[in-house]
Amino acid sequence: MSKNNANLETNKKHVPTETDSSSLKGTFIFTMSIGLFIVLSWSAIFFLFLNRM
Amino acid sequence: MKNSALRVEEYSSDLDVRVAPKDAALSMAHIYIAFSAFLVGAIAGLLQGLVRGGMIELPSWLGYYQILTAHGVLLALVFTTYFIFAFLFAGMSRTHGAFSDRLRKLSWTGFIVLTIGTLLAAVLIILNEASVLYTFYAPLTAHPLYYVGLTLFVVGSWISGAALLAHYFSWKKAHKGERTPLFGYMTVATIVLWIIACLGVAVTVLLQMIPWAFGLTDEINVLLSRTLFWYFGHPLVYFWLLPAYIAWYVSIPKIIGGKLFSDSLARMAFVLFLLFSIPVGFHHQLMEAGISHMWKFIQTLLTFVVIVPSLMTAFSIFGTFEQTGRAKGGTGIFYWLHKLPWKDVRFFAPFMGMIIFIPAGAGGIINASFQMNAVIHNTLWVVGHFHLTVGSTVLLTFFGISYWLIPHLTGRKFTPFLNRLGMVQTWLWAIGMFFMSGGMHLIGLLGAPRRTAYTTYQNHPDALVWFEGIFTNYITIAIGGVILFVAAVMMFYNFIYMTWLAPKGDTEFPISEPAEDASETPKVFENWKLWIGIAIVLILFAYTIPIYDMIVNAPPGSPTFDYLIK
Amino acid sequence: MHLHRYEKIWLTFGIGSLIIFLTVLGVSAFAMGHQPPSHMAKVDPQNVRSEAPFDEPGLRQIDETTYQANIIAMAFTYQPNKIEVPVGSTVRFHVTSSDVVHSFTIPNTNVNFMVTPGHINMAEHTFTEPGTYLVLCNEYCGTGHHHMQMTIEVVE
Ligand code: HEM
Ligand SMILES: [Cu+2]
Ligand SMILES: [Cu+2]
Repeated sequence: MSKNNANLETNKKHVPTETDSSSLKGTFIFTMSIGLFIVLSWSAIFFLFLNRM
Repeated sequence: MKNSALRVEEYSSDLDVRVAPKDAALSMAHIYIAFSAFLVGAIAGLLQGLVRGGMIELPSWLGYYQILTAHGVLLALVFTTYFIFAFLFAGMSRTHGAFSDRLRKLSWTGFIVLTIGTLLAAVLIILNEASVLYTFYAPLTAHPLYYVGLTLFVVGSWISGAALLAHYFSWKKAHKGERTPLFGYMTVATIVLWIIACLGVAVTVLLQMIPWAFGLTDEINVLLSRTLFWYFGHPLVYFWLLPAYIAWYVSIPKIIGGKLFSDSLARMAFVLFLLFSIPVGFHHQLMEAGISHMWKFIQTLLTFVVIVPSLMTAFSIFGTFEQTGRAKGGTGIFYWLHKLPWKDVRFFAPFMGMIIFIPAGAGGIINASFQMNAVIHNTLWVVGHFHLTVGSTVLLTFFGISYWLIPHLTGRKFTPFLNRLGMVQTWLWAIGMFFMSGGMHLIGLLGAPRRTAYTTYQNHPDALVWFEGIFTNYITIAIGGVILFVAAVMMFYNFIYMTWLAPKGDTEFPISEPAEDASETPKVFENWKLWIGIAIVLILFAYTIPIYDMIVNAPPGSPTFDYLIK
Repeated sequence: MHLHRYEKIWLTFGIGSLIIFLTVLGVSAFAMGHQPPSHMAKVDPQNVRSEAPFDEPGLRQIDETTYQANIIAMAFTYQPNKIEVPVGSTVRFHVTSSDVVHSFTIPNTNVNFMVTPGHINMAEHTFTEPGTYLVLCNEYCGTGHHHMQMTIEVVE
């Protein structure tokens, strides 16, 4: 486990865009939640549509 | 320390870059009309909410459909168009230099034609000669001069648009080989979109409606007219949205003290809007006869493509926030959010608009979903939807722009007092919209129709439900409408304050410096001939066969029906 | 042009969802017959009553449980204004307009379509519950638009 983690750390250093000051983790989580919201609301109305058939 | 010192310098040097005074006068002329229309439109909105809830009755000289026409025309057409031109003229002057006298004259001509059209339409609405709603579907018939007014409105906007385009292209000529400023690039995409879109409404109004309303022809092809209208109607909503996106991409990064995340992605998003927001009008006609399933589905597919640039925008804008927050020392996954200027209404109002765009966009995807459209078509859900999109996302962004645009143009200060008023205004608008639009969405799912005066359908139980729910109730909508009206009056006061009352001084017109990657932006983005060409090919693909069929296999046409609206 | 890795994932997820929505809609529509109402038949809007089926508006039985309802929408009512079917019936609504644009909408069902003059539009619904169903017009058609309605009695 800890070995894995250490590996991840070194891996990270190879990706220059992922340094902490330019990380886009928050953006990623935010946009993915938007996606989830879209999927859920669309599905809700689709099931309403099927229900009313 | 070093960083902030740098920023102060930048800020003060930016103050020198002003909208030229003569251009400011032109821009302000648009602002006066925009906010006057806004106030009257908001009064109409308040009355509608109260009437539908059965809380008041209109006096006999004022019709429900008359004020509804006024509301739609004043807010969705007049306020938006005037504000957009005010913003674009000022922004082009700020980023591309003062307009030449010749072009400024052209812009004033556009303004005058636009205003004559607006006044003509307004007079006919007041006389109750034009209660056909802002979509004026045939064969309901307004006074023929109403259509003339609409024509002048479109022609005026074309003249103004031509001035903006000419200003951009003369800059481009003088700066051969340079990348054009993002503001100008986005303005051109918006105006080109508008001009191509208006061709549809111009054809139906000039060739179908005016001859028919004046009695030169006996009949009108209703389906063709509706199709030409919606060829225009969908890009119309992007004409409202794109200027808001311009502020998000170009001004907001500067306001929060950062830089845009990516220049090429921003340009690409606007190109995609230009290409895909026109050949999609059938998504407003999914429930009507005479258009085959296949063509409806093809346009549904194209509609889904135009969602993609908005997905890109969500990432770009939030990415800009995150990078700025982190550059200012923010850490963690979300902790950097604390570094954003939450107490600055110039940021907060558009930000609220962005958040509201999440349910607005999700609703839009549902609306466009082919057969599923039957669940919501012409119910209050739709009204709830566009009060989020244009009524909140676009409007809150425009309010956010006003807080610096108007004082900048009038040579006054953006004061802490104004900021506080703006913050309260933004919250009130959001809360009012939560009740009004939330109520409308849900009551719409229960079948409540849009564009319908107070009625219980002879006390039918399915209709009484709309007056009895806890949240799903016309009263919820009316309460939301009252809160919104208070917010609207506040905004009108803010306009007055910024125009005449605020202390004299300077307010910055925020324009972000180019993004890090701006030098790598591919040249092909500047190739307008290519994009316009592709847009036309897509339009021809999506519309030629169905429109040919509508003309060749048309049923006998319809006469005028003007007595139904009086 | 450079796309951030997260943006790639986000756009893949977003576009992927859109493709799934379209596939579900497409299969449901084209393979299972849940098409949006897009009837192609036409009439002369100024003489709708001169030809079948609108010369005799009303209900016609097609087989044991299927009916066809031929209805004329006009400002501000429908003709006929009331129909009655046994519970469990499937009704095919064929509707046209003798004046302006209307709609034919039964709240809480998927029957909600536009009625444009010159065209006949169509939808089908199976009434599995008894009751008095409201039909309303949700397309603005003039000063009396909010009075435009009819009822469907579904009886045991
Ligand atoms: C004071 C704030 C507002 C209130 C209380 C309000 C209220 C309403 C209500 C109750 C309706 C529905 C009427 C019906 O379908 O019978 C309506 C329709 C509409 N509203 Fe608003 N609204 C407000 C602001 C806005 C804004 C800011 C915009 C756009 C910029 C807008 C655009 C529209 C449009 C386009 C319609 C549809 C008109 C039609 O169906 O022809 N509204 N509004
Ligand atoms: Cu649309
Ligand atoms: Cu109606």
